[in-house]
Amino acid sequence: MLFSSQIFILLFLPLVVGIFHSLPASAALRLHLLTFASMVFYGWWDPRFLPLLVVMIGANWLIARAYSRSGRSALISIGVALNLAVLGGFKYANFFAEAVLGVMGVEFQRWSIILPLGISFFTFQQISYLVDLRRGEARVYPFADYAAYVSFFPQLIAGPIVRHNELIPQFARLAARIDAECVARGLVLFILGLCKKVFFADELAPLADAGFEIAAAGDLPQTALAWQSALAYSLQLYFDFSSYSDMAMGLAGLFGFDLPVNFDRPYRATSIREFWRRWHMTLSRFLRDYVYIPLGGNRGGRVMTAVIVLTTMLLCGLWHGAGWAFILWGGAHGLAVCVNQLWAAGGMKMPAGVAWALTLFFVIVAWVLFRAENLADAARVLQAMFSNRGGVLEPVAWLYIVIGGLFALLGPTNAEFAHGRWVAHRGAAIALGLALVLVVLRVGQGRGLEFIYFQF
Amino acid sequence: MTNWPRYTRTLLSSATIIGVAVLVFILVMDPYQNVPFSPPLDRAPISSNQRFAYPAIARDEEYDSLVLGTSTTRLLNPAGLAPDAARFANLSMNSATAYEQMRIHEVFVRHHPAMKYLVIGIDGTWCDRSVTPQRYTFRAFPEWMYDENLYNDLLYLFNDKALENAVRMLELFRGRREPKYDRNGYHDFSADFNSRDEAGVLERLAPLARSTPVRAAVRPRRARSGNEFPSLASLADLLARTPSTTRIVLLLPPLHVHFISRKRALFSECKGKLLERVQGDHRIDVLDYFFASELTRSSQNYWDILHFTRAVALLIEDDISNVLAGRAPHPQYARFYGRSEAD
Repeated sequence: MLFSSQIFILLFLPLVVGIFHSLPASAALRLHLLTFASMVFYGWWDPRFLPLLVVMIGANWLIARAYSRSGRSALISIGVALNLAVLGGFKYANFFAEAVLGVMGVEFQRWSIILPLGISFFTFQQISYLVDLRRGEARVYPFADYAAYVSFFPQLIAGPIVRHNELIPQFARLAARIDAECVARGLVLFILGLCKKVFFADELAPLADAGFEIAAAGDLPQTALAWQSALAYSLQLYFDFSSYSDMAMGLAGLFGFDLPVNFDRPYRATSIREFWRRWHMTLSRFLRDYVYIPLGGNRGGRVMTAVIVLTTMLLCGLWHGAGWAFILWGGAHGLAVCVNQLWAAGGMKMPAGVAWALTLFFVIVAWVLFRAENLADAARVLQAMFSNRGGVLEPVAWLYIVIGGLFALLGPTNAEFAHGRWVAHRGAAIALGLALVLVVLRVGQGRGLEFIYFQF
Repeated sequence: MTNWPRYTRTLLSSATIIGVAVLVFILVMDPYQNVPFSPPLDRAPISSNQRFAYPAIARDEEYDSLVLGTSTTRLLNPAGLAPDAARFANLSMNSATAYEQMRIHEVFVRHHPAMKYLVIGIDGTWCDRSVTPQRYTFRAFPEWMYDENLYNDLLYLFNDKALENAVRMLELFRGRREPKYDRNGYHDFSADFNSRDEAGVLERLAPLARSTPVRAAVRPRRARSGNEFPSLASLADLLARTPSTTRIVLLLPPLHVHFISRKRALFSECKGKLLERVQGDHRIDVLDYFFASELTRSSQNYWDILHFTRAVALLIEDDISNVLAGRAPHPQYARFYGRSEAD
């Protein structure tokens, strides 16, 4: 079920939160409730995938326990390989088979494989846990803790990618009274995230889709429409994904937990490296700690570092989707990061405004690769953006883009809002109550859009 | 120092109070006339989306006869169709797919087991060659309104669209708004234009004038073997579910000759198949205006290639009424495949 659906907001969430807070302050009881609720939440999408989640949790925990008893690091390698194999089987089998057979000139009929929701997120979490175990940075947790950690529904489908040592130690809080301020601010953050998703991201979606749909039909959109689509998508993606993270953090707050921040006004970045420190921060952190540094990081000279950066970003692209457009998108960002590093290493500087504009321009253009169904569609949109095909600026569309842009650039993040002083007033509580009703009324039409990152 | 438990209570209780107030308002106004326990008020169709407005009319026992179709039959005024005391509802919906028409027909039949007359507009919707014709248009189609259970509708009424329509209903009660459609579903959309914009009509028709010149009147041909029209099979299902005592008119509306000439081959086959399918069904008359005639050649008779004027609608209403009364339609404009002739 979607966070932005009435079934979730009016039934599932009140029920789970209500029971949770009615239970005596027992860590075990509350933990079991959360795990059970998470399984219901996940099974609601498609019960066929529930066994996969349960088996993956069980298998990883057994491997971790076996490793802790035997100390054989091969077990960790097997565990990591198992996770990658499952992820690869579901997500990349078609892509690689098509690529390999294509090179051999063999026509390939795609297998009918449905991607389990959130698989990229929960496999990454479990890989990071196994690797930390081998590094001596983790211990074997009780199974109930581990299962609750991986399946914790606020972050299960689309992150943030929470580390074991960020969440599991917090389970100790369940044995005491949950902090009322944490619950209240969590509720506020959840409502703000909902509003951002429903009133911004979903409203921008048709403006973004317009140009890409024309490209998908094999035509060239007009230049104005192509830019409208690229800009609207840049904002839609940010609002959509960051709103999910806001809601995840807010929901965690309702149970007394803190989740890591995932976005920090990324479109304010004045370099591409800074962009990645602000965008999907938990993924950047994962890639740094489990790909970039293990590959050698910046220890091998400039050329080697550039190769490692490029490899990391190509994998980042591939993680987002099994398609050449995603790989190209990752590669483009990798190259940009390399250029950025060389520029910085050379001691060169440019005015902050120019750096910001250049960074934002690159990010927006690269999102075209990210959004398009394939390279051909992306090429058509890019061609339209950088040619003179005219077109009329739709005032309403551009008003949305300008307002959204100002909000993304100048406004505080929802997390800052929720933790600000203004929110503590009674009037704010009533206004947020009204906002909750408005957003529930809007999602009641049942035409809400899924979160973009669900596909990854 | 904030009292956070009280803060949370304030937030949730204000949301609850506002939410309950909104819900009660929607249920009392009952904008789609599907709340089983709403107070009896003088309601009328208020939603601009016909797919939401018409199920209530289809359930209304006030009517015993039905017009189904798309915008090409919307201008048929129910008041002019019956040759006797029958009471028609016109539930033709803009761009209605075959599936959507079948759904509204199901509701009507469920509540009118003794349906007297049924008129179905046979246009491109039923002559779709797609193997799996699309079920819906871009317009929302509330499946939940089309089942037998009104109580499950309550789950879908807490939304901003229902609230908007509830406010419209209130305005209607206060005399500040007209119903979107008459209580029998009819609405003369041509009356929305102040006057007929001749230049505009000609401009809309002009691109099509370059199409193949119109030849002789279109003769129904049998479809080539293997060239099926899946929607016609759905039509056969619909007819089979219509009470055996219902008199049925299949109406091929007079679309503009530019349209006819473009689609001649397709419709010729479709007509042939249609006549094959209804052959021997003594409930059915086929009234065909879909050929080049004085009527379809004159741009004066059209708003655009698909939509004739109210004057033409009057003529068709007269013909339908005559056919239902056992008399012949205007011979210069219509072909009539009566119950005996279709055999």
